[in-house]
Parts: sequence; structure tokens; C-alpha cells
Amino acid sequence: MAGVSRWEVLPPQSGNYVEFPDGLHPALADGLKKRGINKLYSHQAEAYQEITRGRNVVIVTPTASGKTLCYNLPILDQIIKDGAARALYLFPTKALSQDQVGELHAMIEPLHESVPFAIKTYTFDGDTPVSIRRTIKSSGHIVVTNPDMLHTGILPHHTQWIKLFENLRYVVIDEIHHYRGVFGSHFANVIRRLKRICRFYNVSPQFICCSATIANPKELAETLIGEPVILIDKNGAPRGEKHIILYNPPVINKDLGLRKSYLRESERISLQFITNQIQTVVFARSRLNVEILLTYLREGMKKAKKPASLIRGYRGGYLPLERREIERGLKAGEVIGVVSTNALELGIDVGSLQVAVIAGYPGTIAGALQQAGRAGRRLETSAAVLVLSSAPLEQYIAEHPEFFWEGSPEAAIVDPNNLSILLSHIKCAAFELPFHVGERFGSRFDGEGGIDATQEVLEYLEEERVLHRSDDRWHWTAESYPAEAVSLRSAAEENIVIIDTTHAKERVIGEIDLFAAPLMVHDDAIYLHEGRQFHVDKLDWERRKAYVHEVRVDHYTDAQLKSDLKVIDVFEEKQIEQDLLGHGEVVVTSVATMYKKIKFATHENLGWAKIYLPEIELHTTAFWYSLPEELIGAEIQSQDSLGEGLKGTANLLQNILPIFLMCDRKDFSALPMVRSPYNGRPTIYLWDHYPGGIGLSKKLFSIFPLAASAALNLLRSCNCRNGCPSCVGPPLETGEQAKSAGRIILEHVVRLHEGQCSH
Amino acid sequence: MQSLKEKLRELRSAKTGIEQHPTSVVSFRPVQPAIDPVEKQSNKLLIRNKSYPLSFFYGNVQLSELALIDSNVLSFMAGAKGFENLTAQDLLFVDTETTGLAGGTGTYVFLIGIGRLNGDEFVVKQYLMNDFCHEDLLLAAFAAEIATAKCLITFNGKSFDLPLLKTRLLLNRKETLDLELLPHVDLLIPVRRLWKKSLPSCALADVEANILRYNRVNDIPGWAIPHVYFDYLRSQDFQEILPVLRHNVQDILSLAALSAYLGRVSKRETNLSHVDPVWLFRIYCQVGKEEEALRFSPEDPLSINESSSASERLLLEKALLLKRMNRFQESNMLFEQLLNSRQLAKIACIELAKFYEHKAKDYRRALELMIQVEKRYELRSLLAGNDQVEAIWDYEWERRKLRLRKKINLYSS
Repeated sequence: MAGVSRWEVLPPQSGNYVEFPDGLHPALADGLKKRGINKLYSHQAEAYQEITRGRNVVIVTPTASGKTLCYNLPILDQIIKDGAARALYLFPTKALSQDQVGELHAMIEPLHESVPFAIKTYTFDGDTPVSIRRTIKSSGHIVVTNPDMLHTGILPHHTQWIKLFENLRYVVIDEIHHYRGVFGSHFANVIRRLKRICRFYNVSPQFICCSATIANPKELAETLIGEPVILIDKNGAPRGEKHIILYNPPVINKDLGLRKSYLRESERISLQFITNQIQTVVFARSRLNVEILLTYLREGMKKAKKPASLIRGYRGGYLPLERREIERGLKAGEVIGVVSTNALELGIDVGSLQVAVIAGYPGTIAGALQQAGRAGRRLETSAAVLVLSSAPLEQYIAEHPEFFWEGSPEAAIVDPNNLSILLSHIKCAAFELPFHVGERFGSRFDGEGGIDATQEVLEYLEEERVLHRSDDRWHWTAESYPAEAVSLRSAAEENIVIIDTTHAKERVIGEIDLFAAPLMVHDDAIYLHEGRQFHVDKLDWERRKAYVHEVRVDHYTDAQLKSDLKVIDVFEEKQIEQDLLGHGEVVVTSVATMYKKIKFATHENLGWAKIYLPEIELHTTAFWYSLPEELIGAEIQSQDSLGEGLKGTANLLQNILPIFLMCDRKDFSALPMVRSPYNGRPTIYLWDHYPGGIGLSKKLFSIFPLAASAALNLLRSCNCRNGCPSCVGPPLETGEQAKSAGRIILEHVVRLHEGQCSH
Repeated sequence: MQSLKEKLRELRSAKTGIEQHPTSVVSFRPVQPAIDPVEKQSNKLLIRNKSYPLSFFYGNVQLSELALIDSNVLSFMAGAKGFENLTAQDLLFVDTETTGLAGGTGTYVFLIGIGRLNGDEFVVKQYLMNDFCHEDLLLAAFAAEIATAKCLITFNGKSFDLPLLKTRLLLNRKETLDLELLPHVDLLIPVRRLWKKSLPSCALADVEANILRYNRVNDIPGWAIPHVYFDYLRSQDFQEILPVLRHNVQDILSLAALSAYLGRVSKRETNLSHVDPVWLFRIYCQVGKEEEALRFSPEDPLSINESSSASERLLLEKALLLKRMNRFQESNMLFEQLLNSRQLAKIACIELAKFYEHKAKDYRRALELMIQVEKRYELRSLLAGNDQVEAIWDYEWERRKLRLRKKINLYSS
């Protein structure tokens, strides 16, 4: 097939089975046998052993390997033996928790004959009716909830949950790879609060974590829970033959590095399967894309003279009844194709599907693997086709598909000690229980910052009259309810809301973070949103609102940002021969100065205008890499081409880093400087967009050689002449020398670090 | 390099930083500062006693009326039985002041006021904790008061004061005190039932103004109380907290006066024009005074007035009660009467149809009655709403007709 950049066949694997462990309660063993399970996979048995031994564990196995049994088995076993024992299950989304409760009920159902009491499991979330909340609080053996509910609904009311807390033996945290970046940093603090409350009730629950395949599951789990964990990652589940196909749509514009639409190509590929009666799930990146693909596919079916009803859409928010209907349709062969947003939202059993088509890289390798794993749950041959777009990161993946079977380089990064996040949660914690003089928030295990700073933060909050010290304790003295003011998921505390005024009824079409706003939604900017053009009529900076209306024009706008960066504190620095790399605390000031109107296709400059917006200051953390000045003259011709080279290198790094830092391209920015005021040398800064930083720069400091060689690979494998959006950026923006000079810079860096490694 | 505190301050001042807390705190001072008698002022727990002679009037209620409260009145207020052998002397009127209304473990009770009849006086005793570290003393004092109590009277205490006190007790590891075991009358419940339809809101201030005819002068607004306490914590200036203590005393006097007033209502010895007659009737039934409820006579202020929908609803309540008592002749008479009510004809008709179908076995009469009512009120068009409740009603109605027709055919052939 043309366009296939890689076709890998993973051979079938036989399962590694183990007898039920000796200590397992016979009622559970019988229950499993009734459901046709006579043995455990080796990783399930291993998890059972470690958990009954009292260890914290993190289980890393692929989709459909019986992961939930790893925790349900030892926990139900303990509850049968001690009816008072309680467990708390945390899932990142509501949809996921509902699925798990279904699975749990299936395990508990056969137990009622031989267990003298009923094992009760409940979901506690925003949808839980008030009438049953009291019952859940007092009698739920297993309470299933999400971090947001734990944060605002359970911890601040812990006395109402006394039965749960006094007997809490296990905390299950599933899908821990979701807890990264800002969300993960918040989550780690929610767990610190949970543990603080557990200490009040004299319990210390065990933590059982599960993760998709990432580079650092153990490190992540240990940071999140603040305790050592045992890694269980030897999968004992069998697998049928699996084909992994990476499809790269053909190039249609070489200069711009543009390829054929990945959506259209996904449609074409999916139709080949579906019209041949092969049941297929198609994953799209957004709800909008689900709708578009669904329309394309149904049109395609009509052309092929097949009923369009064979294909169903599936997005979050579908009702259980609709799910069951789709499941029934799949079983009966009345549904051949399902188009869905996200593997995790797919709360339906798609066990019989043979093919997964992934329309566009879902953002992380872990996510792509989870989606690929949705096909072929049984032992038959299955296939996953990943259709890539022309985005630089996806082009890199097209060249490096081995990540999918040789292990992922993605590391989930969190920084629980980010000052503003820490401050928010110390307030929440003080509301929950007064702080003692000398008490440290967090454990020794998760870093010095959080714990040493505790007293100082408390004193500060006392000065601010949020806390009041009485004898040896600090008490909450504000009327407000702090958890309500802290959202675990929002990245920037303040965003600019984009309001479409095209129609009589105004509506919000998006949000943009404060630091990107001056570039994207300044007055008279052309703002692109889901392929449509909007003219910005007014950016109301004070009220954080941008008013836009839809237009069709032949140009786009390109704003210039003047940024300055000052290093305030160096955390670590390393000199390798003439090169210097480090990370630390910085202040970034930026101001949008002017914008150009640029015509599509010809890139003609149609004029420019000034932008009048206030300067923004951001305190954050940054990574920097300084090159020797001697690079000019020796290898690079002039200061100008050095500048272009630095720019190109910075673009490449920004494109490639999400794969190592498991973040979004927008989570950090790059700033190349030919002569950095910090050390007078050519330097590239990469700084974290979240105030105070959430650990990206620290991680970058340790993995930079890897990232640099990946960037070099991407540059080398790109077929363009002088640069394109898929690598260093288009020459019109980055300059004619960006690719050649960037290549020299990266070759220099990689050579230097390779030399280091071989020593 | 910045110190941590400098960074924290920066976070707060930065436009992008965390939310700001109000640092300027509202202070409320009475117009005429006055020194108040305080029984014992320690630096830990402040105890204050105020006594009122029984001749004291709070609005239109004299405190002497409290003596009339007996187990019947208590049952009436609670809408339940279980207040036997209690007299006015056994009542503890409790109200707390707190650091917030949100609830949760970070909300503290800092002032507990307790009122009771003591011989020829009504005494209000207040316990104020002067700092958080003395919370255990406050709770111990409360526990001691509770130990002798036989019945609590509060306003919204069931969902606010008591759960909060329970949380405080738990956090101070005094779990042994079980507040839920004590008989408890939450006055918000009868207030809601009897006056919800005629009052602007069921807040204590509105009840006072409209029912007790009492308007507070120079009272601290409820929202300011937490801030005043936070200021007091730092200043320890008694004058600063005095308005809160006074507010609390008024609340307790209000509880007492309201209880006495409800005593009047329970005996129907006052103007009942604002009282919801249906709820009054229901409460009578709840406390086992069905016969008395049925005797609500035409001379009664609650008499049946053809134009009043409330009186029609009362009639329906009576009819349903009589039916439950198997007094069908009487209940049927009332249902027949209700067939003249546009609003309630359908319900009354169903009840009569049930009687003719199941008791009298007169299927034809049941069916005829239904058709008659349908015709009279053009029910088909009237009930063609899309309301789900109505849809179910319609369904039941049609099903009953169908069943009656079947039975008529079955027994006539």
C-alpha cells in the first residue's frame, strides 16, 4: 500500500498462566470459575502477592490484559475476610469510573451465595443523587470517584466519611499517566491532603496505581503518592497476531510540506475495511472530527451502495441505553463501524472489533497504544492503522515507529511543589484540619521543597489573615471554602475568552492563555478556529475577553512578540567543553509590538500595524543551552545565519519535545538569543508556560541529549530544501539559513554529548 | 534571589496569580457601645448570662406563654409523636454562631447560646471561645448543658447547627456525645409548612417581622458575623464581639417566642388567616388528632369557602382521611362535593370510581361517573398537556375505563 511508512507484524504471544494463589478466599475463586476464569495471568498473580504483602504497586500492562482484576481481586479478598475494610477508587474521568463499577458488580454478583454480607460499591460523583449520598458515606465498601470530587466533595467533609476513613485500606489510582503537568501537580497535592486526613484517623492505606505504557511509571507513581512503589510490568496475557501500520498521506505541496488530508485518508482506509464487513473502530481527535468523519463515511457507504446505518458515531455523553444498543448492533453485525473520540470515552465493549483506525496522532504514544489496543481483544489477528498528519511531531513518528513496540520515551512530569499549586492546597489542607507548628505538608519522599517550605507558607497565610495561629496550631479563618476556588484541571489561572459575535446570540468559541493572547487575538488579528477565519474586533484586556466575528479574507496575520528573559536563580548548571546547559528560575517579559498581514499562497506582505497591549511578566522555570561563540566563523558563516540556525533549532525542539515530556506543544515556549544577557553567549531558552513551572525544564535538563538527537533526526529526514513547517519552520519566517545552520548546531551538540556518553 | 515570602507575595499581586482574600475586614460597631454584664470572663471561654422576666414581651408574645408548652404542642411543632412527659422546663433553646455558612471541617462554631425557663425567669447562657485552642472547653461546656437536657429547640438546627457541632465534636475526638438521640424540634419545619406560602421567606428575620411582629433594631447582619469574630480573635476587644452576642440572644428569644406562638397555632387560639390549612390539618393527623381535625367547623376561620382553592384542598384531605378510616359514607359525600371543583374533580372522581368498583361492585355507576366528569369538564382537551405526570394520569384514567367496560361485559353476559 502506497504511503505506508511502516508495517510491523507483532507475532502472537501465548499467555503466562498461574494457579489461583493459596490465600485467595474460595468464594472469589468459585466466582471467577463461574465466569470461566480458571487461572490468573502471571501479572495478576504478581500483583495479588505484592498487594497482600502490603506493598504499594504500579501496574503497567497493555489495554485488555485484565488489569482491573489486578486490584479488584486482592481488594475483594480483603473485604470478604474483613467486612469493615474500605477502598477508594480514583479514575480521571466519570465515564471511566462508570465502566469500572460495572466490572466490579460482575465480580461481586456471584459472591452473594457464599459471603454472609453484601459487598457494596458506589460511584460518588456530581451525578450522585443526594438521597443516596448518606448511604454511600456510611456503608460503601468500595467508593468510586474522581479527583475533583475527592478535592471538593470528600476531603473538606471528611468527618461525614468517618466510616470510610477509619477503615481505609486501599486507594486505587487508575490511569495515572493522566496525572501529569498541571493536573498531575494538583493531583499529587490532593493525595498529600488525603494522606494527612488518613493520619488523623490513624490509617495508612496502600496505594495501587495503574498506568499505560510510559517511560517513567514508577517515578510518576512515587511522586504522586509520596511513597516507594513496586513496579509490575511483565504482562502475562496472551495476544493474537497484531499488525501495526503507520500510514503517511502523500505530499501534495513540497514547499509547504503539505500532505493529503489525514481525515480523508482515514475515511478511505476505514471504508476499505468496513465495506468488506470487517468491524472497525475509528478514533478521531475531537468531537468535531467525529462528526466530519461520520459524515464522510456515511457518504462513502452510500456510494458503495451499502446502508449508512452500518456506521455509528460515539462521543462522550452518550447514554447507557445508546451504548448497549451499539454493543448489541456490533454483536449482531448490524454495526460494522464505530467512530469515537477517545479510547477512554468508549464505554462500550468492542471486544469483537478487528481493526482500529486512528485518524491523527492522539497526542501521546500512550494514547495511541490504548486506542490501538481497542482492536483485537480476543486472540484473533487484528490490525491498527495510524494515519498521520503533516504536523512535525507526527512526521517524526512516521520515521520512528519503533516507539510503539520497543518502549515509549514519554515521561509524565509533575511538580507537586510548584509554589502557586502548593499554596492552594496548603489552604485546602488547613481548612480540612488545622496545621501543627512544625508540621510538614507532603512527605520526605516527594522532594524537599514542599516540606521545608510548609512553615513559611503557613506564616505567610497568617499574615494574609487567611489563617490564625492559636497556641500551636494554625486554623482556617476565612469564610470561603478554599477547595471551590481551586480547579485541578485549568492550566492558566486566567484565560482570555473568545466570543463570537457573528450571530445575534453571542457564544464562546474558545479560550486562549494569557501569554499567547497578545499574538493571537490582538485587535484586528485574523484568528483561525477549526478551519474558520475570525476578525478580532476588540481585545478587552481588563475583562479578559476577545470579541470576534467570522470573515472570509485572503490573508492571515502574524504578530511579533518582543520577549526578554532574565535568569534569577540557577538550580543546576553543567559545562561540557565549551557548551553550557542549565535550568533555573526566570522572569519572562513579553510585549506584542506589531503585526503583518500576509496573503495566503503568495505570502505577500500586505501591510503592518502596531499593537498596543501591556507588557506581561511571567515568573517560571526555564532550561537553557548555550553554545560557544566560536561556532561563528568556524562552521557558521555569520551572526545572521547563527540567529536563523538558533531559531530553526528552537522550532525543532519545540516540535519534538512533547514526545519526551508528554505535554502539549503549547505548554512551553522557546526563545533563541544570539547573545544572551545572562552569559553573553548564543543561547536557546525553553520555558514553562505555567507560572512557577511544573517540572518540564528540570526534566529537559536530564534528557536534553536525547531530544537534540531526535531533533537532528527530524531535520535530516525532512525532504524539504530550506525548511518547512514540518521541521525548522518555513524559510519566510525562520530564514533561508535556518535548516543548514540548525543542522550544524544540532550536529555539534549531538557529537559533544555522544563523546560524553562514550567516556 | 527572592525569599519564599517575597515569591508568595508576588503570586498574590500578580495579575495571573491566585485569588485574593479580602484583607480589609468588615467591622461592625453598635451605635451605642455599652458595657455588658459578664459573669465570668477568662481568657479562654467567656460565659455570659442574661435573664428576662416572664412578663417580657418579644413582639406579640409574652415569655410567660412558654409555660403553656406541653408534649402536645411539641408534637405539633415537630409533626410527630414522641415528646411525651415533657414540660416547658425541659426545653433547651439552642443557637450557634459560626465562622461561615459553607459547612465542612474548616467551619467553626465559636458561640453557643442556650436559653431555658428557670423558675420565674427566662435565662440565656452564652459560651464564647476566645481562641481556637479553647474549642475543647466550648464543646465540654456544651456537652455539660446537653447532659441534663431532655429536648432541644432550634431553627434550622437539623441541617446546620447540629451537623456542624457533630463535626466539631468528632474533630475534637469527643465522639461519645450523640446529639441525634435527643428529642429535637427544628422550628424551621413547622414554619415552612404553615407559612411558606404567605411569607416572603422562611428566614428567622422574616418570621419575626411578619408573625411575631417584631423588628430588630441595630442588629448585626448575619454575613458580617464571621468577619467580626476574626477581628475579635486578633484584638480580643470585648466591645467588638458584643453585637454578635446580642444578636445571638435575640435569636434565642426569638426561638422561645416562636415556640409559644406555635403553641397558640396548635390550639387554634390565634388568627390563622396566614396559615396553610392543609398543612395544619395534616399535622393534626400526624400527631394523632384526626377526630379534632375533622371537626374543623364552618365557623372555624378555616371553614370551607367555595371560592378558595385552599379550602377545596382541605376538603380533599378530609375526604381522604375519612376513606383511610373506612368511613366511606362520609368520605363519599365529600368527594361528591368535590366533583364541583374544577381543580380536584378528577381526583375525587377516581376516588369515587374506586369505591364503586371495588367496594360497591357497581361497575356501571363507576364508568358513568367517569364519563360524566369527562364531559362536564371536557377533560380530554384539558388534560392533553405534555406534562409527564398528567400523561400517566391520563393513562391510568383510560385503563380504569377499559377495565370497567370489561367487567361490565363480563358480568352482564
